[in-house]
Amino acid sequence: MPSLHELQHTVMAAIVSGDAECAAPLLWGKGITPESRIGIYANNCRVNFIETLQRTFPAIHRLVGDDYFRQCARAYQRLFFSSSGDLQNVGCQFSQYLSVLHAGTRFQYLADVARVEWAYQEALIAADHPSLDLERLRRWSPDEYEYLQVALHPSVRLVDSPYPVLQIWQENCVSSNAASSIDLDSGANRVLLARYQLQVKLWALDTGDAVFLRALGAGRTLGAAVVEAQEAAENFPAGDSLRKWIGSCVIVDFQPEGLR
Amino acid sequence: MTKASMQELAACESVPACAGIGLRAQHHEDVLAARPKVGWLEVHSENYFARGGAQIHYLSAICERYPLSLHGVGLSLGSVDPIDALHMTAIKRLNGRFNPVLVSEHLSWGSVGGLYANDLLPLPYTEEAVAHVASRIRQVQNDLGRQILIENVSSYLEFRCSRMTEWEFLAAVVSEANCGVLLDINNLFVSARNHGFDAYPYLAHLPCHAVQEIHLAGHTQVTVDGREILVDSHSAAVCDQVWDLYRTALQKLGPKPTLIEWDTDIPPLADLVGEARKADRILEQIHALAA
Repeated sequence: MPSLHELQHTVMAAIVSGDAECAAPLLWGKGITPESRIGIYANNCRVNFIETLQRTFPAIHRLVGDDYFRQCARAYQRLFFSSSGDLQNVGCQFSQYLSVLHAGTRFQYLADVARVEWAYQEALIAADHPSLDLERLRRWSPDEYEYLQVALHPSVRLVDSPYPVLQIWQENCVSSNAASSIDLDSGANRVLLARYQLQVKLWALDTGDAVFLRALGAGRTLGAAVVEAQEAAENFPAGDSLRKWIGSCVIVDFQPEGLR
Repeated sequence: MTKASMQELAACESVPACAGIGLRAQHHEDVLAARPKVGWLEVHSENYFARGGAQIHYLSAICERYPLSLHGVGLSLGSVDPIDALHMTAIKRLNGRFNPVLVSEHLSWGSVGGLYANDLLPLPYTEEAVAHVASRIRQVQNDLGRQILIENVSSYLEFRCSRMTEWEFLAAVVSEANCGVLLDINNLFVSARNHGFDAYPYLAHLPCHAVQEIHLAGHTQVTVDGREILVDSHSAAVCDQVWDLYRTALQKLGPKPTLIEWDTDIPPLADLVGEARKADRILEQIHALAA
């Protein structure tokens, strides 16, 4: 009699490989071959994986079409079999997979669109955080703001791409119209994603805001982040930017430098 | 009375012996707007592993209006791998946050060697498997500080090394783990048809005292190697034969909290509530007989 350990490893190997021969001696047939019985589970596993990936990456699915998406998802599953009891996690390496798959081709942009879609999923489920307490902020003099370190909302994600990925995502995910033609050389995007109330919002950042928010996310003080942003974009409007990102619940907390 | 048995009693008393429905995200807003007259709601734990956002927002609001049951599909209780600590932490977080009236998992495995089929595979019905899965259930119960229910699964294969029937296996696990049972009548019907055993003796041999919840769902039929196989698809209304089996189960068990599950091709909320009404009518008949 096989041990439970041997039995489970043998059956899982059959499901993963699609070759049930090794597991057949463990099973009763009763009118249906053991291979077909394992095949039912292998098929469920494949279908659930692909459908979850399709729900997670709707823009990629629309861009490449159903047949290629399924082929791609199947190949991805062979390399990155699910490693979690929560099926929602299966897409975590899909952008890296697409990046390698399409390296050096005109489809390189797909990996960046996938990064936006995965960031969107992460932003959807990130922890909640109340908006910044303005009363508390007013206790500080504006002269002291430069010494504050701020916290970004837990849902904040930044995706840089040499392609217009925000427009590509919007055309293929938000819009129900037939996709229009987008010039892949029409400009880079620095995409900010953050949850506002219950919805994930996306912004295409200019250079100043992108540098500013990255610096804040890395733990720099407001003063240091403004200096970095102004070095990258000479006329960076620090006050307007700060108000905008506080109002959008992207900046949600602060504390004096050294207390973090 | 021990702390554990007090918790069991508290849990039993707080779940109404009436019909509830499986809550899916498509119906969040409808449930809040329509406030359907169902006794309780059940969610898949994994669908609410988020730290925040819409899913948690809606569940918090709904939880204020209905008793909630947490039903896990991904813990892989029967696996020989260690229990996934991250998965367990997420279940503990949900349990602490929403204080569900019931927590359930499946009597199955779905992962080994770090690979997850994300499915509910049957265990071999052996003494080794009884001891293994019972110890894991005890571990989960200790971690959560409460009793859990384990659900019989639909299966499409049987292991040659099994040395007992499924109901003997279930009874042995319950006895050794001191857990409750979530009896899925559709799973019982599907497995009985797929493996050619009679579902009624299964009901007759159940550890009745442990059954605290019943599931009802629809299934579909496929042909494999020229033979009919029933698949637990949760994509259709409950069939007449499953309703018959349900009546028989209630005659033996008495009224039990009963859940309508529907996970694929999900219909409008009103259809689910309609299925729950059918279950409620049968429960009322059983209540009347018991009175």
